[in-house]
Amino acid sequence: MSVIVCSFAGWIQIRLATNPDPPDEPRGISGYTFALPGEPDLDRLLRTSDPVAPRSHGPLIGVAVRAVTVDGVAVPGHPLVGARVELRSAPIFESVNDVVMAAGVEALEPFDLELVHGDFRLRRRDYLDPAQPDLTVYTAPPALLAARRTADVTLSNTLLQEAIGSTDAVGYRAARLAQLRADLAHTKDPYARAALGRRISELEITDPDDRRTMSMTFVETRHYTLNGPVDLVDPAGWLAGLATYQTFACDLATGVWDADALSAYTVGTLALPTL
Amino acid sequence: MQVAGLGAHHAPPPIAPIRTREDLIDALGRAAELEHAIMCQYLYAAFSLDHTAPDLGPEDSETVRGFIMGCLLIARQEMEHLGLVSNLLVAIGAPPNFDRPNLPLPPRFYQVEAPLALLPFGDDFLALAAQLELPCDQPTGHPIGPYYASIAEVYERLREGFVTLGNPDAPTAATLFLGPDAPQLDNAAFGAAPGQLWYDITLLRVTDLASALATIDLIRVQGEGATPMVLAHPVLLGVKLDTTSHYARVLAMQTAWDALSSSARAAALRPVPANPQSYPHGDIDPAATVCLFRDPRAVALATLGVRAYELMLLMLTRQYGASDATADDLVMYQSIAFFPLMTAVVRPVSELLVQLPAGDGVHVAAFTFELDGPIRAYRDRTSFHVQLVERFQHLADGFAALAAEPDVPPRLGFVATNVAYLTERMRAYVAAHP
Repeated sequence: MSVIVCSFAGWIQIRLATNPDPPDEPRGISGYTFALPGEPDLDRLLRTSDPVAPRSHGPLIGVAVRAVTVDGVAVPGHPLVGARVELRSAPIFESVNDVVMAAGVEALEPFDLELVHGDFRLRRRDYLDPAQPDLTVYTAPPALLAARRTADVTLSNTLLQEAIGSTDAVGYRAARLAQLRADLAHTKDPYARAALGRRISELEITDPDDRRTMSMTFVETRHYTLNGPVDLVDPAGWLAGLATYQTFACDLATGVWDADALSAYTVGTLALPTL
Repeated sequence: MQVAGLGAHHAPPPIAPIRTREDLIDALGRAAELEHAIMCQYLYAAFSLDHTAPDLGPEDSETVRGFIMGCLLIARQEMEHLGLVSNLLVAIGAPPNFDRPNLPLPPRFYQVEAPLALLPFGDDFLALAAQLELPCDQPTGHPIGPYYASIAEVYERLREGFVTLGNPDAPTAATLFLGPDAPQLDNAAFGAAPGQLWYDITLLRVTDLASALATIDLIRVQGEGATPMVLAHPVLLGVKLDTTSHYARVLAMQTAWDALSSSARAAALRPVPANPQSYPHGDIDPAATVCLFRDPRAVALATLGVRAYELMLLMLTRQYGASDATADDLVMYQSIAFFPLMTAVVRPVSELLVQLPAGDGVHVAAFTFELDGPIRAYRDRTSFHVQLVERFQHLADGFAALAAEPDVPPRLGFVATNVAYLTERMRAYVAAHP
């Protein structure tokens, strides 16, 4: 038995309203995130690629495998390095404003991970209960749902350093503000101007203790056990001997919430047992 | 009819200063009702606006969204003020007061010159808000006439009362604050640091004269903008004060409203009536114009909405002051009343009602903020919890039935799902905590 561990990282997009807006607020009013003029409604979906209405000067959305180890030994040229990591089935942070779970420790559900690289594809889901694949956060027994709570919520600069190359969240937002102000000076389109105006007014809130800035250091850690059917297309045999009868462990840390760009940074590992 | 010789021509007496604990409790009780009513006014105005109206251009749309954001921000701070007044009441040995009369109320109902009414956003609402939030330009401790000119004077009198009764030389000082252990809600209850602003609010615990005065001055600075008052309190040094008071915000909204074209103003305003009602009330200003809903869906949803709101108030009442609530109970009340009921039930219902016709051929419906009876303090946890489950079940049944009707907004199904989930949470909690 051997274990291949894929380490991945990248930016994701989450177009969601923030408290105290209702979870299904479509445009954003009383929180600090908004659908801007000309943008479609907020939808709460976590996107690992193909961002909807990506914001100017925001991070590029995409998560990819950065490194692979086999039994703890780095394999720099492993063919899975560079594979796209996708979360499928429309995942949502499901607190429902504390109806279902407390904000910050809420479930990310469903969790359906896919690695894609050329013709290669591996997809598997962590079902709340594999015997009841249709369970949702509303219908799952409380004990099952409790297992979906975040494993840890911390304030940390480590992920911030990795994502933006600095621990200066205030400076990061200030640089964005300067870029948007410069853009506004030569923007004529009324929709673009209104959108820039809203973003600028939010970025002008520079208090480091305000959640717009402080949330850049929030890190939520989650553990998953991929337990559904394995969907593997592996023409080159990169994962030959994959133990599909075993569960796959996936750890995920998400943070660096860039409220202006509706984006966050995520890192994680996927452990693949092979015979 | 005037009776000669009985003083019919005398001017009303000035409002008496506060000189006893009961004076203080009465005045704080009225302040709680005022804050509560004013909160309703701002919420009502916010939901009368539609920043997504197709006839609004992008710039005007953002301006209107700014009005909604401003009204909701002020409403949150009015909720905070209600919470702070509740802490003041509890600190001096009184129960909280989450009750209030139905709206509209005539001028001087609370000895405040202004009326209280549910008005759609616009000139009338902004004028009323400005009158209520008007800064007090009199010297501190000035005598107050027969009526308060604004809310600032209500707190001016309360402040003077606390100073009189709580100063170290007063015979009442030693017993005025009956116990710092009395349940209050402060920032710590929400995981926030002392003095930290979260969601634009901060909750202070009241244990002595200094914290009582800091609490009153915080209310004043947020309302009228009396910044120097707050800077005098060490407990508030950590508060990152928003330099924009309610009064300043209201004036800014008036300026921005005036700058909108008449067509933009018309597009931004939903045809929301003043003072909506789902059934007639005998306790309101008889001279005021009201709108009685006639559409059965509007009546049903308005009734469910105010029942959810009432349930929230009952749980808040249990959170403050002495009761037989356990520590787990208090956590449960807080975890249900605040985000779930406020933001995932009451607010969506407010937004859904304006999508239904009022049934008078002119207006759409709106959240009525009606209270069907006094908000009582339930003292026995066992019977309260039985009633909580019953009330939640009635709400869940009602929302489910209404969501199944034709021609109701699909979002009602989302609310129904959430209420059903909360009902089961409540049932499970009560079963596990006999």
